[in-house]
Amino acid sequence: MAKEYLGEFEELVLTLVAALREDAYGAAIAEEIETRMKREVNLSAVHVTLYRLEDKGFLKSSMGGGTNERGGRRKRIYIITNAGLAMLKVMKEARVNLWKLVPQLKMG
Amino acid sequence: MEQSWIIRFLRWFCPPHLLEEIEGDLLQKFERDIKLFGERKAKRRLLCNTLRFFRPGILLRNKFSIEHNRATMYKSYFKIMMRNMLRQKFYSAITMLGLTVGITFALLIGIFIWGELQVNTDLKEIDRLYLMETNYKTDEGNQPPFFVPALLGQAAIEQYPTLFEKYYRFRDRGITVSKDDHHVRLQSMIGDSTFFDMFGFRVLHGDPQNALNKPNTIVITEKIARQFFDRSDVTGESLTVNTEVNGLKEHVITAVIADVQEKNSVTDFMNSDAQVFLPQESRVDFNLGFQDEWNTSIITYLKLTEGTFPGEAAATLNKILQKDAPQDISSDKTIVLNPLSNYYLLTNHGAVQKLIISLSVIVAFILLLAITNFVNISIASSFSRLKEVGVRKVIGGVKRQVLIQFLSESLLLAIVSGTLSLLLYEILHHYFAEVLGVSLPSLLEMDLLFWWYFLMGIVVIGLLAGLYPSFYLSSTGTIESLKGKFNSVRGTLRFSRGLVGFQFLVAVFILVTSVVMSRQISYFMEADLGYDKSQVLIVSSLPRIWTEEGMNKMEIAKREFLTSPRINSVSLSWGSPNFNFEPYKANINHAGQPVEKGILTSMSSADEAYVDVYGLKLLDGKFFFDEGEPFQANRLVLNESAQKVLGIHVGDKLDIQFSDQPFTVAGIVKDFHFESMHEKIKPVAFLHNRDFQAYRYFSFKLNPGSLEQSVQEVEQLWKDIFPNDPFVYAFTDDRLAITYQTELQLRKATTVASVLILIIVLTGVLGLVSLSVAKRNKEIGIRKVLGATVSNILLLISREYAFLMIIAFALSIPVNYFFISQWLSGFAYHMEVSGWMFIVPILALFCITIIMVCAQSFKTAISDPVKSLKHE
Amino acid sequence: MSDFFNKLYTNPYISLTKHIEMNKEYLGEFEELVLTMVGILQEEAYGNAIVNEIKDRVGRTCNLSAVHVTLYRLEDKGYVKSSMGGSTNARGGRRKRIFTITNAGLAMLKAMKEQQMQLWKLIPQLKIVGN
Repeated sequence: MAKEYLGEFEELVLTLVAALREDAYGAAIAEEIETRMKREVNLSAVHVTLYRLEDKGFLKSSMGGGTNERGGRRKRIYIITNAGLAMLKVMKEARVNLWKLVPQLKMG
Repeated sequence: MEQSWIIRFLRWFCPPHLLEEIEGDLLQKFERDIKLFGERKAKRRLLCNTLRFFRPGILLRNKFSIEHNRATMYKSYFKIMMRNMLRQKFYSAITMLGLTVGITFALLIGIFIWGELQVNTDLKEIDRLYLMETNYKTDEGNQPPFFVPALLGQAAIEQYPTLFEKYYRFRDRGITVSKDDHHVRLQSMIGDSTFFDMFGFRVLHGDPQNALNKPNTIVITEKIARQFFDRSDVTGESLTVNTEVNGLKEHVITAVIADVQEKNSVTDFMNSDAQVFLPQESRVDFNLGFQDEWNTSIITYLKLTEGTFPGEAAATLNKILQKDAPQDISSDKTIVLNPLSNYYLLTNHGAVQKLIISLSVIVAFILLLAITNFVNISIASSFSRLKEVGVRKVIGGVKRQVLIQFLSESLLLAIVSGTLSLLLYEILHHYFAEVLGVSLPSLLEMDLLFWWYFLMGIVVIGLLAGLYPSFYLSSTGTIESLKGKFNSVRGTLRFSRGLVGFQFLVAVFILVTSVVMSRQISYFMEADLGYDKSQVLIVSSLPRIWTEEGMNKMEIAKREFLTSPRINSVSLSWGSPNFNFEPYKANINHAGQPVEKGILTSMSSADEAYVDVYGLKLLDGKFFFDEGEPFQANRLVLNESAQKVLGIHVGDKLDIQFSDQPFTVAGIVKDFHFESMHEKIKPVAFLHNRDFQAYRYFSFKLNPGSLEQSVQEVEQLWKDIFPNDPFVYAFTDDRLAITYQTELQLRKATTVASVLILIIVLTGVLGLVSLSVAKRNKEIGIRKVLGATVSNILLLISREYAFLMIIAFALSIPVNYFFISQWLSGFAYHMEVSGWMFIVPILALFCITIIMVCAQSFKTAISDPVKSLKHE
Repeated sequence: MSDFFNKLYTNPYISLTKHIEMNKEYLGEFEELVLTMVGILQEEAYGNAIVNEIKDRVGRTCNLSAVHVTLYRLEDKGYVKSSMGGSTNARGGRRKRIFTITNAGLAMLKAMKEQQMQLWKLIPQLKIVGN
């Protein structure tokens, strides 16, 4: 949550890339956010964030397989790098430390 | 698909290497949306989503992601930088103030110096132009050194055309030029027709080849043309010149030249600011001898041929002089060549050059102090920054990152300060130009070279300022181990203290020096010069009719002037004590004894009222004779110095060089300063106007009362008595300022510099104190809890600075004293250095600093210790 | 038209109305941060204290007005409630507005925490951190 770390949306996208493993690409992440977080998100915002995270070295990408649904067009699949994982760890630790201080939040 | 136009639009703007995945994703979403929302809404959403891909994050993404990487990196550095600067607004403001003040001053002085260096640069082929000067074998000559035998230049060209290309000679004359009723007093140059070719002055109208080779012709500058005719193409028109010998004569304008650069060594030689030019033929109109004789003295410029060395040329000139000139001309002098390229700088004992050097040194110090401030404050504030930097664990290369961050911060600061300085300069340059008595151009007139230097300067300042803090902070062991931190902290503190001490040293040095300079110059201005310069009006524009008839006319005029109640006394003379005093020097000895063995005396001329007008003190005898008494010829008045050397009494007879008759000593006056106080008072003798057969000024001693009204009255009378001559006047005490112009400029500059330095040093101390107090918040809290009072705390904090100041001041005193004594010894008459000149500035600086330190720490000193401890 | 609406309501994939409701409840990053601080500070939560707390814990310098605006917004949404507290000399006698977190606010925090933890559970490499 400190300024040296990632923005909230970037953190979210990064987390989802890690969570979605082999299936991490633009449309899938956008959909995951909408279902899971019940939150309207724009596809282009997701794409731009993915590119930015890749520039910062937190993600790697390669072209994956195409499907019929996409008219055979391939997807760009993203994987999280070690640096990305490290960043997620740091941010999780920070967040957990904060929650510890709120007595009513003490449950798992 | 009907929505293919949307896809076509996408394909148009989307970067090709991203197209496939983006298109695929959009289509995937589209298919799902159809199931969710139906086709129509799905299409709308597709359009929406596609449109939103039209954004910089997509459009500007290129294959070379490394560069994008770097751009992102820079962007984040920049953000961090701005954030840091804004966060520490107070400290950024202090350093920026110091830097801006320093850079603005540097700009003002720098541009002034640059202007001085530009003098003479628009003269054609200036590196080949030289001024001939005479070095007398004895200590002093009869004439100013720039008079040389008139035939020498011509002889040089005729006999050695391979060495000498051209020459120009002239004599200056103040003349009255008129058109109908419009009379103006101007400086003229009466000289050769080579005037244009030699120097390359820009001719606006007329033919330069033939402009100055006929009698009764005149060349004028554009300014004068407009003054008389309101336009500049006035060739063929004529102006009336009031000549000394042949009365009013019409002169035809044969050429108009563009206005010439100020202060150049030709038309503005010796500050004469010549605006009109006459041919050599005009010499007959002005009591000047024939120019082509060895006997005649004239000012001569020479242009050497390419590749000729001045030493060789000078040797040749001396050879010619010895060979061709008569013995009495050549035996006592040698000729030297002075290059015009640096003439302006080196003339007058190199006054301008010294000024430039002193000013440059001052500017360097000021900038140094401002940079020191920055370094100190960076280091001090870095302690809090390290905490934030130390938490970084993620990306490697921290050290390099911090280095770049700090360097770019200091560069940014330098650039912002530089920009502010440019603005300040534009606003202030008129005011400063007035204060210094010079002209400073606006920034818009500066050429490319200036901007290049300026940019380089800013970059250097930024780098210098940022270098130490960057290296210190990036290499410190705080990130690695706490232990390492302690050592570097102590060393840094010592360095920081050293810098502050250095600042105090420089500040007190400049303060004391400027106090001393200021006092010395006031001493000049107020010292007893031996004559009374107050309320003396001098008029230089009288008609020079140097005949018996003319003298009588002046007598009548004097009596007319005396009818006014505002005028106390009037005197006719060659010059006034502090201006244009001596037309020549001559040897004087007791009658009968060889004149060459006598003393060299400055000769001047005046009348019997001179002693009243200027309040000279008569020690013995009379000043020629009392007023009202009839004229007695061949009388002389000497000053004390002359009298002492020769052992003269009133009534003695003396022989004067160049005069065939002996003169009787009529009186002795007390010594007075007629040259600058750099020199000791030399022997002086006054001849009466009628014996000398020439005069130039009326001096009026005005009665007390409104100066303005007195001037008006004199002007009225003047117009009645001399309807054909303009009324050009000056006050004697103003003239004095011109003599010491360079010193006055120096004094003003050092005063301004002192103020600036004080500002910089004090704000620096302010910043440091506030930082250190903030850091020691907890410590102070604990001390208070343990029983320290407010004054104990204040003492604690100020003790550190007091100690530094004492050391710095003690170190500065011997250096300062030495420097001041050296400077003062350049003056034959100077004041004594007294202790208070050191004590007062030191004490003042000490007290102000302590007060500021206390004021700044006061808030913390009185705050509730519980709070400051709890806040941790 | 009604056909369309029917399809929506019966769609198992998503509930449109619920979709809208949930959106209103989603908290922005800063709002979540401020709300957490209110939860941490218990009795002492007011403008300045929150700014300081954020600076100390997270290292981020916030603008006091931003914090105030966020607190009011949170209060509008019902996540915090406020009352005027005691005055001190240091404030020239002006009282502070003390904020306390409501049950709704706690619930929101819990929900956001839960959501976050669900996400993290999916990432095996994060298992050892922070527990």
